[in-house]
Amino acid sequence: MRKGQTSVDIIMAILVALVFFAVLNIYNDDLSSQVSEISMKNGMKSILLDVYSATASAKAYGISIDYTSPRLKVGQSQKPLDCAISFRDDGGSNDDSIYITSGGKEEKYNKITLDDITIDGDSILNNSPVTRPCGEKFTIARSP
Amino acid sequence: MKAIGNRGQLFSLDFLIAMGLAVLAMGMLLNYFETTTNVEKEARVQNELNIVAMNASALVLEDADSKCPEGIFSAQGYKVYGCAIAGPENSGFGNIKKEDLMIPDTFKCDISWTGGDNNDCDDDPSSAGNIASVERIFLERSQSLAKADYEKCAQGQSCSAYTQNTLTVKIWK
Repeated sequence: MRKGQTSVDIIMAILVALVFFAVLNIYNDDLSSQVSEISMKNGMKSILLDVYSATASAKAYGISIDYTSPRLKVGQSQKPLDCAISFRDDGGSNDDSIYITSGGKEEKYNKITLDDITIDGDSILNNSPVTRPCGEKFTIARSP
Repeated sequence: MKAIGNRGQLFSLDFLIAMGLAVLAMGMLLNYFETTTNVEKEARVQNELNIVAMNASALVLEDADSKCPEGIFSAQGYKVYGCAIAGPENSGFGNIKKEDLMIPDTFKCDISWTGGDNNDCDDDPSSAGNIASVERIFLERSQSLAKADYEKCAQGQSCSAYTQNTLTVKIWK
């Protein structure tokens, strides 16, 4: 080998390293996107569970709850995302649902009876959903 | 250490041992991450099941059809807590619908109590993975309740007015 000549070994090592880092970068981008999506889904599920729990308590014990839902955040430093809580009568008897929607995605608990539940005094019986933004205070109560 | 420099030889023994150890360390690290992720996921699922089960069991005991009638006691300032009429399978707890207990359709349930099973929540939990099981003690009226009996029970004396029963609510996905 002459002085100053680049060996085949080092060229191969650099090529392999370049390919490795390119693949790693693609994998990391994909992983980051998946983590963000799962984090958002978990956040929506947590809010859904919290709303559901408050609604079930109001129904079981006949109490009125001034409820404020958490805001939807994905990651530590990002701003809260817009999301909405929706109580719906899906048409059939005993066919009501609680939805959390954000950015075209939704999480829901359906086929639960909310006939005797009111949100800020509005019944869910009349087929029009009662919707409130996440983070806003509203009153969940059982109608007498 | 003796230098190894035979022609055609690609890797030294030292290098192979180092690579083996590195692969082992990475494997252990990945296994740790996977285990941690699984534990967190299981905890989240179990938490959700527990909340649904606790709410459903409260709703069973507070259901209007199964609550003990308070009769004249409410007028006298008394309130009968934790009393329900479980009844046989086709009355009391037996006829309460899954929807009325706010158990979403993606969940399965099995509700039973001392002496009966719910008709709508009667799934078989034997093949289920994570199950939330909530037991609540309730009192069932065994005779017509008199004020003297109520006071005796409240004072912790021998209380024959109520029978103590157990409600079990199992929820899984």
